[in-house]
Amino acid sequence: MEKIEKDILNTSDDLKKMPFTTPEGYFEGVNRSVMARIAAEKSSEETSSAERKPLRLILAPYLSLAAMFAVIVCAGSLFLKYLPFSSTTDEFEDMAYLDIIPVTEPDMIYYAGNYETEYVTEEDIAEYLIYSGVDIESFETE
Amino acid sequence: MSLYRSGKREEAFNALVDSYKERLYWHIRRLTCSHEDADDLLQETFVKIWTSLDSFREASSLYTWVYRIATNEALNFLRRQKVRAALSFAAPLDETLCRKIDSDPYFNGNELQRRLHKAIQKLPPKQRTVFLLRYFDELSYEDISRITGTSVGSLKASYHHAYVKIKEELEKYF
Repeated sequence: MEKIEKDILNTSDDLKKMPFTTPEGYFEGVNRSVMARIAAEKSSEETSSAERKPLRLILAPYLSLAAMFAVIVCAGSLFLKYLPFSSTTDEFEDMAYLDIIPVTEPDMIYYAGNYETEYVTEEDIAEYLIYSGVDIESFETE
Repeated sequence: MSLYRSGKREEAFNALVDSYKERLYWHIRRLTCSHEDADDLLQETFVKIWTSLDSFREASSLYTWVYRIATNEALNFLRRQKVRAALSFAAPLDETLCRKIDSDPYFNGNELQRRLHKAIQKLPPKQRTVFLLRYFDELSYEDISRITGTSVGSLKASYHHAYVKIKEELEKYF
């Protein structure tokens, strides 16, 4: 007995038919839609190429900003270099030497330039006491 | 193509659109399951053909060349849809395509045809393409090979797997 295999894909006539439809008159309009799309894409390409700026115009604002920054940095460094300021940098250099020069009193290096010893004499004390109204007697009893 | 080479480019292109628009439309429609998507992809296919006609080498047949462009357009579209669905945590693409068949106002087939087209959407892209070109368009394996860029042996294997899967799927219901 011959065995007949059931194969729904081969035996059904409906299966190869297209079960979808299209809107009325769709295929008549395809040529027109395609040509319209090609024209639209062409015009948009032309517009975008016309609107495309040259590279130098795109980079101009960034280059001018960079140039301004460079000018400010140069002018600032020249200003700091040539104008006389307080000798803070010298003092900092002196402080830096404190750590590398082996001396018993390293602070003396820092104060060496400006330090003047002021001695208080007995005359100065007496002058101060007279000025502040303190009697010699009360001073001596205390 | 001789009309195109003679300088009558638009006339030649219109003749090409006339002779291929229906076949390509139905091929894309079977892949995408939606009239709107098929219409958009068909137009895109013809735009690509228009812009590439100059580079077309007559060594290959025009027939397989236009099918190749249409197939690539449709498969790239489906790939983008798949990625979008994955990124937005939406339903998988095959489920979406099956829903499109259910809700398609231009579907006028019977239940068997509905099941068949739903089963086709569950196939991997390569098997689906081979099955559609072989079963519906009845193209030879050699032509399908030129369209898909796959060897004839591999196509035969893919078609066999697709055929068996669809047959089993349909036999569940009928």
